[in-house]
Amino acid sequence: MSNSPDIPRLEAAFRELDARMKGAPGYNPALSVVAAGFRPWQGHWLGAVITPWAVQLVLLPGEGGEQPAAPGERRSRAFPVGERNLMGLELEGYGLLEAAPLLPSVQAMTSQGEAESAALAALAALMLPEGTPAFALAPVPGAQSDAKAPVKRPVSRRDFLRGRLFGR
Amino acid sequence: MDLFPAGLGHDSVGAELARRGVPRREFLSFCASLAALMALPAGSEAAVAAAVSAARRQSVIWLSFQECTGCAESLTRSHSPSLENLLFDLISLDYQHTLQAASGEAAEAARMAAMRENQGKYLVIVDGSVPLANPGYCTIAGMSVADILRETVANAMAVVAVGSCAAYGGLPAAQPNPTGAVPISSLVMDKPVVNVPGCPPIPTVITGVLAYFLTFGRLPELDAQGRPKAFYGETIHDRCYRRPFYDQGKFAESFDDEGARKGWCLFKLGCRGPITYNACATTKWNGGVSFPIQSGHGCLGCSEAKFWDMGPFYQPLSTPTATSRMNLAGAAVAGAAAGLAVLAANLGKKSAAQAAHEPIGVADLVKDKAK
Repeated sequence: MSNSPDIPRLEAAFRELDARMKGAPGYNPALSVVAAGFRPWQGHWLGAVITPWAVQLVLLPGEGGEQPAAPGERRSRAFPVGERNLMGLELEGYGLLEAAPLLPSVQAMTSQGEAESAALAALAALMLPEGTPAFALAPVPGAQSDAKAPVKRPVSRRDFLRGRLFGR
Repeated sequence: MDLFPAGLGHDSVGAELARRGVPRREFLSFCASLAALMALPAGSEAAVAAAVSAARRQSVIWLSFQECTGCAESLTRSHSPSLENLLFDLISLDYQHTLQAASGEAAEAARMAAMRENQGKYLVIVDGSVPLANPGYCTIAGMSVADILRETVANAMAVVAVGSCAAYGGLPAAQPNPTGAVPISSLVMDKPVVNVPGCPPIPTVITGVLAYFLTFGRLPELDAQGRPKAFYGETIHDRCYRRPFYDQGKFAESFDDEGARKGWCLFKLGCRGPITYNACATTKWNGGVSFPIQSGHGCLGCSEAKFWDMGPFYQPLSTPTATSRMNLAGAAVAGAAAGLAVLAANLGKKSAAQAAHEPIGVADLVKDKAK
């Protein structure tokens, strides 16, 4: 694996997959394949991949990190926000990577821009220490709030990202 | 915090817990799991414990209509925490065919007494659908279930329709719907109706709704289909542990291929996870042990309207999900309208019998068939 991630090859592999995923449930034709926000992280590369069927957190193995998870193996990785389970996968046309869902669904997204900003906000949220108040983040499209709910303490980022505010 | 303070009323949950010698630790851990279940912020468990402890034992009348008793089975087989069952005891379950000790006229008398003593304050739980094609299809003590529903709900505080039959008509409403089965919400217009669909629903979801009601004295926030958002806000697919495989386009093609063995996504084998709103993927079943997809079988979508007519079960979903949901909603409305028309027709000829509680039985069924 090279020192910088091969983003064009990654996007090409997902575009190849896109042709086979058309018609799958939750497929949103308003979206297209884009890899966004990749940055060095613990010797690997971490970023988001937006596709018409999912927004994923993707870890591309770098040279400096420990051995990535084998295909099908789940690995718990520690982010500032807390632990997240990533799964080792063999992506046809690219190779080994680790991935996890970054947003629950893309069905309600109306534009590529909306999906990308939501993906980047969710990615940024992973890197903030636990307890950061939600107002520090850009609003996540699709996340619902209830202004009438009796919020008795600042909504944690975790609650915010789960879209589950008090009283829901 | 004193969980069971002396000032609690003798009929409060706290007093009942104290009588039963429930350990404080067990109760608090139960409240913590309830708080998590109801999606309350961390730290809410103390408030939940205090509220549940002080709550009056809620009178509940459980009506069973065209159903298989699977919903009651689901609730009674809930494994952990064991206090869940206890909570079930802590409501005052005044009428429930399977669980109550009384039978015959004494059972019906218990229902009437609960309605009289808790007027305007009791909760009605219903499992099963109501047949409107002919009242004789489902009667209890000679009374049609439509009449029992009308009579029982009249002075209730709210109604909880447990299971897909009560929420959507269920298996009895499967095409061609021979009994003219309709959901509870199409007959109860003047009381709040909470739908807790599932065939059966997850036990913790049933107890979660009851616990929310006990804790806050009001019903949880509902979605457009009357389902509590906390449990039905996301699809099975959204939280499925096999989701990373779907995201990477890795699907099992048959139940014994390499993909199936590796635990890949079951969408191509008919999994309904992407269109099914329920908490199975997070709450799971049998005390959090597993759920159908984890056992290697796709989701059947049992908590969605008309899931039984959405077959074949082992072919992949092919239509865009938004369209199919809209069609289903339309079909449900049409079904309810047809049912109401039949009800109107039946009401005329049966009204005299209803007023006098005159028994409806097999003879009525035969008479209608002969026409």
